[in-house]
Amino acid sequence: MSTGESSFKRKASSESYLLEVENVCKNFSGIRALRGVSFSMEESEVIGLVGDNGAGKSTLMKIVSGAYFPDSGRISIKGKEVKHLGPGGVRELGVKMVYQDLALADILDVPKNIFMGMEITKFGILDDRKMNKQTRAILKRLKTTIKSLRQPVCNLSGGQQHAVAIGRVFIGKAPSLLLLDEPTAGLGVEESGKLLDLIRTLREQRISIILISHNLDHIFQVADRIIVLRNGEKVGERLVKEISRKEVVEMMLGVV
Amino acid sequence: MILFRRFLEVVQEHSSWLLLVVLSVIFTFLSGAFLTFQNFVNILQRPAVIGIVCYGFTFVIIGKGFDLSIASTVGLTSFLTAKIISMNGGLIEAILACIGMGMLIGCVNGVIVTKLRINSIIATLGMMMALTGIKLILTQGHNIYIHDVLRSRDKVFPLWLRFIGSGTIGPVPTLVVINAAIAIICLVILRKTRFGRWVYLVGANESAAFLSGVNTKLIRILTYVICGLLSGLAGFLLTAELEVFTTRNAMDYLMPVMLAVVLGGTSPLGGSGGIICTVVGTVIVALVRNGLILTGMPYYMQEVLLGIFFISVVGVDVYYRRKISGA
Repeated sequence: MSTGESSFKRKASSESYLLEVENVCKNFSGIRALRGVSFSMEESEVIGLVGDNGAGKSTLMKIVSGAYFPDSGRISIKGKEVKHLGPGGVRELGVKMVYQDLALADILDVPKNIFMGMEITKFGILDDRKMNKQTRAILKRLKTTIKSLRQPVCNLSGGQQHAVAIGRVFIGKAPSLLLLDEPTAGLGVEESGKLLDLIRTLREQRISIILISHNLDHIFQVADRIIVLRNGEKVGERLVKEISRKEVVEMMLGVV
Repeated sequence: MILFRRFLEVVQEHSSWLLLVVLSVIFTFLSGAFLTFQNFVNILQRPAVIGIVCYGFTFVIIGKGFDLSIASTVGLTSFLTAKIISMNGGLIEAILACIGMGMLIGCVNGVIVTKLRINSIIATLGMMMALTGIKLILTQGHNIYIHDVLRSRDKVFPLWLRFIGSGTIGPVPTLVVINAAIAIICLVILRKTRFGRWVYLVGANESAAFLSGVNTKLIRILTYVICGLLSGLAGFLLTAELEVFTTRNAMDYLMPVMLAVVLGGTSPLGGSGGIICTVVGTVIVALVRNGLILTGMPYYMQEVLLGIFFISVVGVDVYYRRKISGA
């Protein structure tokens, strides 16, 4: 079944894509990080976003997640334009991001990190018992064991910290779109495998995923489509089954 | 290495309690008068008013901010209170004026630090200087002897003010009860509300908090507002306690506050500590002063000892934090 092909056809204006990125530009003090990038996305799709260092991948994702505002261009989620929504607002629309540095508060414990910004309250008071319980459930779902939840997350192993960062995704409403920035970086073989399985499972649950990774093997294992950025521009967009690794690398490096 | 890390963690987490217990034991041995109920009352009574400023300061420190203007806020509101009382104002007016002034000062501090992105030490230093200047203009360097002023108008010193400043509720001084009540309220806010949780998040990792949808600027501003509010309230209580306003009121309200909060275990690096820590810290400082007086040590010993504790606690904390981000 090729979801990739149908998404290349423009939809009628009455329908809306899950995510539509139109001509997005972003400058950082004179450095043009993004120069007019456009693409769109549907449900149950996995897109691999690749490019060399400095190509603009993280910047693009941070604009979609609301962490940055674009200098020009449009981002629409399910038809709603997200011009000046911050991370909280974008999350309300169903978009969640897991950052490359995990964005964890090192000295705070596991439940505080998982529920960051999404704390559960009962009559205005924090419901720690419920949050602890849900934290355990999420860790179980991610097949990760953490013996004591009360310790600061800086004490956890890399894999456990990753689990905490990803576990945030399962708090609150199920997301429609997940942005993962180098989720397998620093993970061992087994843990990377678990993550890729998770991506496949989520895709089956009609959650779309944009995956940034330097690891083309991983991308080719789970992605439907691949988008290549170079120097802030989109230089290629193909279905994964219609392109080879070599061609991807050539596009990334600009060797035509 | 892991074992050492765990050891550091335990020490860092409990260093304040340990210090408190050790000091109590030492002083009990050194002086027979230490372990008495009356002495406990004495120990708690001295820091009752300044402790309230410490609670406000705790909010700011947890949020990784700093407020050098607290002493001048207390001084200004102490003056306001004396002025209002001597003009026959009432309890409500005095309290509202102090709290309002304190919140305004805190709000300005917060906005300058977050919107203008000026370093909190520099910004609040500027505020401190501004407030000192304002106080000078308003007081013209004069003191307000409330009793005299009221007597000259054939008025009596308000009973409710006397009750707050020097009265007792049962065996416990009113000021200590007020301090305890405020401590409990602040504790609940910090530990059990979403706002309190967000203060810790902003202090621990501001960008992570932002990416999680927390309005970090607003949270930081609110910590300054709370600090200003409590400093303002402390100014009112100070005047109630002293029953005069002199230009030296609240003169010593900056360093001891920083000392107590940090000694208690609230790290200046943000994201940790809390009200209980601050209470422990305040008690430690009061205990040291009390104990050293009881054992007849010279005054400067208090400063030396407290200075040594301060450096040790900060040292352990910084070392611990460095180990965390390194590993």
